[in-house]
Amino acid sequence: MGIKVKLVPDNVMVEIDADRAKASHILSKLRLDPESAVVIVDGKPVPEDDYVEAGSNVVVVRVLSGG
Amino acid sequence: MARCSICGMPAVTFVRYQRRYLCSRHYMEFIEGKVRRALKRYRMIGEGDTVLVAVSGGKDSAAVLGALVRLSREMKYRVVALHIDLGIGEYSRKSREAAVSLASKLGIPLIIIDLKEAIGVTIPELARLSKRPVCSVCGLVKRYVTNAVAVEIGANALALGHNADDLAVYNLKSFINQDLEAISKLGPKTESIEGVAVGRIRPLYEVYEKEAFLYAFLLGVPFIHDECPYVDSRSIERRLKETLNVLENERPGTKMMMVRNLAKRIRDYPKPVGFISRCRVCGLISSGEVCSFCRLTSKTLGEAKGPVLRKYIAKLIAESSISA
Repeated sequence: MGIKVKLVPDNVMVEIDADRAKASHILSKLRLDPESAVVIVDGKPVPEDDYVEAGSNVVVVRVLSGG
Repeated sequence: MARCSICGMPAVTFVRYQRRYLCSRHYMEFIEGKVRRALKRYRMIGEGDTVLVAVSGGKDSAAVLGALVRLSREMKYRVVALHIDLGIGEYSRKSREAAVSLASKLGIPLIIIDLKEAIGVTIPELARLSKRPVCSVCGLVKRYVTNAVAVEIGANALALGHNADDLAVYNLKSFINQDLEAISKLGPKTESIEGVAVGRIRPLYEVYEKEAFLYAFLLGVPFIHDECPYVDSRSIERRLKETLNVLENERPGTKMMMVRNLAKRIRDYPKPVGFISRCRVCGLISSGEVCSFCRLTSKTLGEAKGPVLRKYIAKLIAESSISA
């Protein structure tokens, strides 16, 4: 079972092929800069070196300026 | 699981340029400390002042409004929010909804200026009629409307949600173009001119873009994640932002150093040439005989809309409980 990630604001689901991975690894797989994205696990933001488990509710927000 | 470097509770982030983990509570204190410091260091707001906060519905304005409201009791000033409905389809509808929920959640008065209702056209319509880029027209209109409302309610300051990343990027872009006059406008605040212009303040001057998002998220206030459909993802601003973030990753604190030094040296940059006067049509600030908003609307719509808009704003304020 992989880690299912919802990308915001793109509103797409992506699956990372791992049972457990660091938040920084997820960002790197999604080719996102840690300076411009936040990983939220089960509703709580986590630092990049925290581990994320498969089965958690994972949202990655690309931080943008609205315009 | 990483723990807060202050209290040992689960961390929500690692502040790289300070090499410390912070939990939700200490993160909020960290950001509010930065805002408080900026307000005091740059003398942005005084006791008894009224601050008008421009709220787009996005994360930056949610963060600046949230922080200003939370600090208002301690620093004794009044906060009023302003949202401009630009008429950009679904994006504007969602933005307006977010601004209304945000003001309601924070318990502060909100003024909404609906452009279509006020001057008869939306931003895309005005851009099309004037044959100018949407972003250029939008910037001009927003600058005019925010100032007109601030003057009308007798505000002492107009707060904007520009964060450290925005300012670092504008600085670099202006430097590339060698537009040194533009850099002179990137300080933490501008001064008011009695009855003509209200000084603009940037309380998030030392808050990174990602930090502003995290603060608004942890505060639990509503905001939208959407980007304006007219934003060009291949713009130089976007590329500079990405490049700066690469530098920030390699050398944490680069963006902070840049904005702090910019604030220190802002007076060394040349001010735009010309004199500041009062527009003979609408009475607000102008660098010539007629301000750019009255010139644009006169040329495009056959009537200078400055006085029309000012009348609309005055009526709206008179009908609300927001007074000078």
